[in-house]
Amino acid sequence: MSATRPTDDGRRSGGVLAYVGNALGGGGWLLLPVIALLAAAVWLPKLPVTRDAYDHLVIFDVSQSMNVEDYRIGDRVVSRLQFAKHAVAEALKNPKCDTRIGWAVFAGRKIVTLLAPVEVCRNYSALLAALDNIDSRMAFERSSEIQEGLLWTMTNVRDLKPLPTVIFMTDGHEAPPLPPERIRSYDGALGEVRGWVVGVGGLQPQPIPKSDQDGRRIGFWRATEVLQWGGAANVTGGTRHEHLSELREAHLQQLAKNVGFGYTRLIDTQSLDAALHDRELAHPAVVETDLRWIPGLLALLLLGWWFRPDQRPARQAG
Amino acid sequence: MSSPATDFYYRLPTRAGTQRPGSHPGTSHGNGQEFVTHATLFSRPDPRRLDVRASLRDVRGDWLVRVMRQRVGVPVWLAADVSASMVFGAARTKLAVLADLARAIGASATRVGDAAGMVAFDSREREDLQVPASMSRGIGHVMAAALDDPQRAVQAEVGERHAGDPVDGLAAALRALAGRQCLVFLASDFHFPLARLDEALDPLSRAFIVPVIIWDPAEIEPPPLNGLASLRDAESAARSAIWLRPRLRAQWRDAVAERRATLAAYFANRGLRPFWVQGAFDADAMSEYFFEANA
Amino acid sequence: MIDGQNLPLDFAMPWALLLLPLAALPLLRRRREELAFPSLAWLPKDRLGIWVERFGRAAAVIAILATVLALARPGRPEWDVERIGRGAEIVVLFDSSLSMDDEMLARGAHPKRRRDSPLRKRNIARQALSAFVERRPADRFSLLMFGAAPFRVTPFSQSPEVIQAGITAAGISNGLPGTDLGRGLMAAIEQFNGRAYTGSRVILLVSDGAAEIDEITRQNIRNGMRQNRIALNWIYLRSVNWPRLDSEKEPEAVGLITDVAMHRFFKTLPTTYKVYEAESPDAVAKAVADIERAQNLPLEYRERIPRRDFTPYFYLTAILACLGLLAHRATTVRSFSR
Repeated sequence: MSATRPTDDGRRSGGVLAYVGNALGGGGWLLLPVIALLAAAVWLPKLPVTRDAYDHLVIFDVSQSMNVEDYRIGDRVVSRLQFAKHAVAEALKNPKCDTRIGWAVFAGRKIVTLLAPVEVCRNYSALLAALDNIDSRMAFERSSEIQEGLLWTMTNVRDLKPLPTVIFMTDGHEAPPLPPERIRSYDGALGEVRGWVVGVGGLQPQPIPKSDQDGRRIGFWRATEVLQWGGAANVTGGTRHEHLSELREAHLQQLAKNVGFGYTRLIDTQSLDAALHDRELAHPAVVETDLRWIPGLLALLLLGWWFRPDQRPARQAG
Repeated sequence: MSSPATDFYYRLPTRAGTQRPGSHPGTSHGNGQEFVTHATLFSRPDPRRLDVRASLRDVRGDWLVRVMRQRVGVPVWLAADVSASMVFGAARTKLAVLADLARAIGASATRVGDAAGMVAFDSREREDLQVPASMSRGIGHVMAAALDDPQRAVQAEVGERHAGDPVDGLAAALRALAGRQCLVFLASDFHFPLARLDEALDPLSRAFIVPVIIWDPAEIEPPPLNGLASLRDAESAARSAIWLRPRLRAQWRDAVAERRATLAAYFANRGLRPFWVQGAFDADAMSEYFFEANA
Repeated sequence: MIDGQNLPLDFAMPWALLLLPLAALPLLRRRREELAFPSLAWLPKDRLGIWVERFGRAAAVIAILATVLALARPGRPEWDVERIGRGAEIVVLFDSSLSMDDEMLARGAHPKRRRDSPLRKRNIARQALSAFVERRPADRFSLLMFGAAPFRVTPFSQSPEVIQAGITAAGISNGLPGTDLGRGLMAAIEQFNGRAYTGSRVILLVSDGAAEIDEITRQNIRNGMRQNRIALNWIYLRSVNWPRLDSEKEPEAVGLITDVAMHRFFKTLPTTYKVYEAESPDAVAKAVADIERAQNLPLEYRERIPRRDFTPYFYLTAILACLGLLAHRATTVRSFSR
């Protein structure tokens, strides 16, 4: 075919220019933008691009009720705290590099920040090692006043700069039981500190393991050893079986609503996605981004098109 | 597309036994210019052809009549190779040149009152391109149009897929002409093995065959520039590449010369003389060819 | 990032490698780049031509291959080099008790608990430690907080970012009830358990006071310090005007019974012990600088060589291949017309 088409053989005129003409003829000029794009890919510096970024402070309730074993990882029965840690570790497995995450533990009425949020990609193994250290021995108080802890968090998390969003992982078991008249409403501005309350635990009341200060198991809490709730069943979750623990969702939903947080229940390792990747919690961050792939990909597409094979025309019937 | 139909002189160098009057030497007696013998007026009662001088000289005193040989018309056939390799040519494809030949044949045949027709072949007989012999005036253009069709180029590309031996196609195409008395222009580039060509030509025992070997200048003369040529065989689609350089050009030219010699020897062996077409069809050369054949 | 412990090369975007089959494209036939010729049979076979043609194909394959590989962002994964540097393995044991939220004031002044006060002991300690960590990249740090219970914040880590995050956290956390120094020290000693001895080991205790330690725990601490050969440095955030721990006066008289008792206990430790009594932010900074000088023994440490990105080299390769392609095209006869 091509032989019949009168194409110019550029070299006839002679000289270097003729060779250049011949190289670019017949569609060869397409290699020039390819080279230009590749050159751009070599020398393109990282450019600032605004993207959604997350700063999470994950707070683990380390009170004793979190030792109730009502989750499973594979065949292994694990405690609420272990499963919460497992779920967070799983969520970190595919990190977005502009996500920062930090750890804190809650006991009594306070939280203790262990790690201020750090960038996940670079510090992945260190973050996991630190996460691994979290256990119920960190419970610096025996009580577990979740309402107070959440309200305390709302104020104290502001010490962290930049202000992170809060992922509060608890089973909602108030110890001692919270009388309805002590329900406090949040007096700060809603939406300033944002976050999620994540309900951890099963809905079946389970006995709470008792452990000593070094974390050794010493049986279960008995009904007589804990403060029972004498009144009628109420929204704060006070029950007549305070030695047993179950996820008190209604209470947690109420608490979350009070401070303007979202609520979700930790059912499996995917449950955290809603909280960790909630676009409401994202803040725009200017990230130095490697954009070399854009000219690179364009060059590749051109090359691919240029080298597309062609088919012999199909034989017509007859 | 229609270049001026230059016609050429042609005449069968042998006697033809066809029935139709025409311009070629025939075998039957009749109205003609060619004297055969004298006959008595009784045996040939045609007083118009009374030869008075011969009668006077006749010892028996018979009236003698001249017996003349009737000139006859023979059908002219073009056997056209339309295989993929014919769709090649730097300036014009060989098929276009072949179309010129077809027009010239048509015009020449019409002028002398012969019928002209065409059979075509690639690796098979191409019945779709066949043009039945006819004396009509535009017959050359009909044949040329069938050949010089852009569709041929596409078909040539497709044709690579079932590349076979063109001799099979030729044999099939020529079967219709077997044993007939006619003039056959066998036009091809002869890029196929000659070993079996005899099989195709032998049935044409009574025909006068003019092998027309059409080559494009680009295939017999290598390009002048050095460089890489990435090549595909038009027939088999095989790939090859050559780096053009003086040594290679010499080899190329040698190969062409060798092929030319092979073809000439082959046709000479059959008592035929090939007519070479390189780049363009030259009607005068064709006339010359026939003058020499009839000499 | 895929794991590339032993690989000399890894890919930051390995899924781009799915495009690799594109590199086979030039091997497929492109009829538009070919010259049809009536009969190759009469052309001579030319090895040179075939090789030049293969060169063009190879350049094309390399161009696409290199581009795809570049898109996958190849590089040498970050790796560790064993180096001998000067430094130490340091466990920072940070007192997180309530009193750390007080301001560092002269005796008698009423300490206020203002969150942002520059004089807040916690803030002072945090800044000094932060600067300390920043200046000592060769050191390995582990961070513990202690109140009623020890908090193992991070095990030994080479990541200064995480240590800094821990120090930041320690600096903002509000006080914990109780000061169980004994358990804190034991937890700090445990950090060294099972670690090969590679250089000097230090527990850096940052606190504003001490607590009683019972005799059993004292014995455990003594043993642990000896076995693990750990030095103890105590940055004692003393209030201004308080008598020094070594003062001749009876501790009862100065109201520092527990602190002085602890000081005396520490002096009985089988390993090096040094106290830095700091009563102002400057003094804390000076104490830290002092430790910095003292702990400059040879230390085997791993330097983490960051990932090296090879992407530009691959793009450059692709460019060279494209130039090769152009050169190839420049010498190509693309038509028989003359």
